[in-house]
Amino acid sequence: MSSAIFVLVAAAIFGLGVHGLLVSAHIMRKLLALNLMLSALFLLLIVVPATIEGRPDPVPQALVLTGIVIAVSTTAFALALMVRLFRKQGHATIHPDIDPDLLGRRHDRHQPEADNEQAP
Amino acid sequence: MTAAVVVDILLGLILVGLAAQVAIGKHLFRAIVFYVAFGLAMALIWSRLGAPDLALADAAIGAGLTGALMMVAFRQLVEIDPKQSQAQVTRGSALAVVIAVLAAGMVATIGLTALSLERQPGNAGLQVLATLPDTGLGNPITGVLLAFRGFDTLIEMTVLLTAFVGSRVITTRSRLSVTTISGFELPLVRTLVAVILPLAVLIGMHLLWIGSDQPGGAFQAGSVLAGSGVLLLLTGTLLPAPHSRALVRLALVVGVGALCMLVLAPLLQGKVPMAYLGRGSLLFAETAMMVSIAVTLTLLFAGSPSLKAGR
Repeated sequence: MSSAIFVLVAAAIFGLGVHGLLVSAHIMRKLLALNLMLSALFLLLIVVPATIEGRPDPVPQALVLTGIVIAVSTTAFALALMVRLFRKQGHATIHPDIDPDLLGRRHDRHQPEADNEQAP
Repeated sequence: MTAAVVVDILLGLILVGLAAQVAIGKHLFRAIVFYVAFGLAMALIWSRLGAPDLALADAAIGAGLTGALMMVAFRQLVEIDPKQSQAQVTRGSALAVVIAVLAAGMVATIGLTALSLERQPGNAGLQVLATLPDTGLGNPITGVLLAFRGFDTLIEMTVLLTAFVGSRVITTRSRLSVTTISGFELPLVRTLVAVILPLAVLIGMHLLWIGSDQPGGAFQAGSVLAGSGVLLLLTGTLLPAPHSRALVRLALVVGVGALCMLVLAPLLQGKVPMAYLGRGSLLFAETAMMVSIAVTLTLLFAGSPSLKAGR
């Protein structure tokens, strides 16, 4: 019973994550949505296998623990990429059908950084 | 309907509600704050499901550090372009709703179908519990992570290191001024740090020490210590430094190094690589991993190659 509840919860969160990933233009919102989808899968991975002595199976638990650390690493890397993209382009969105003129104007306002400007 | 089912339904509703705020809430900053709350609700559900290791990790890493990293990135965007906090190009789309509903339906179908089958305990899980007494460990998850599937953990630490090196490579301007609250001269802040920091270090060491037998371990301990690193950065006690130092570099790689030693050391005794060498070797590897995780996550938050003492 409670497993079925959490499977439905995981499905709802996964759906919300997919929706957020599709409709949001801002990269950080896409990252948040991806993290939601990931959490939903973690929940599914723990709830679906049979429990052993009343506790969740230790092997998927270790997998999820690994997954949580990998998720924070990749999120940190993606955020660094996003900030770099923002400095370069003046917007942090992925939107193929956004008005190119609009982008052009934003581009002018935020001077793209010169390539020789490197960290010490 | 028993009380436990009611609690499960309530927890599930809270989690879905928070996820909805994250996914379709209007403002980005609000979405980040709700994501932190989502992580904490997730931690509650893990402990409800009887997985305290995951609850600890999700509270510290999933909610705390991911939220802190998101907020610091948001802050950078706002500093570059103040209008960023309002600019939201989120458009509703009927097609996206259909796809999302289908995706949710797919996950629900897979999950419910798997539940409706005759559920046998996983063979690997049973073997872990059967073999665990031979290793002298009490916590089956630590057993899986380090004694049975150590290669996975080695690769995981490598991913963490790679992510750090990668974000160093693409960050052109080191942020040498994390926004701190030290400028406000709040009298209670230093007292707060003086109280919280020793407690956090104590909790971290405790989690590391008991990790072999009870819920806890290197990941949880490392993320608690990284949390105190974030606190020190925010209060200006530690400051980002522009040049990497040997000690910091050593701390970054010591986790991967210790796990490599765990792989190679059995070869000297004529055993297979990664053969189990006893609790002492695990504690050694876990201590090194804790240091690496704490330093890597703190530096990812600081956005700089090194740290120096502040005021």
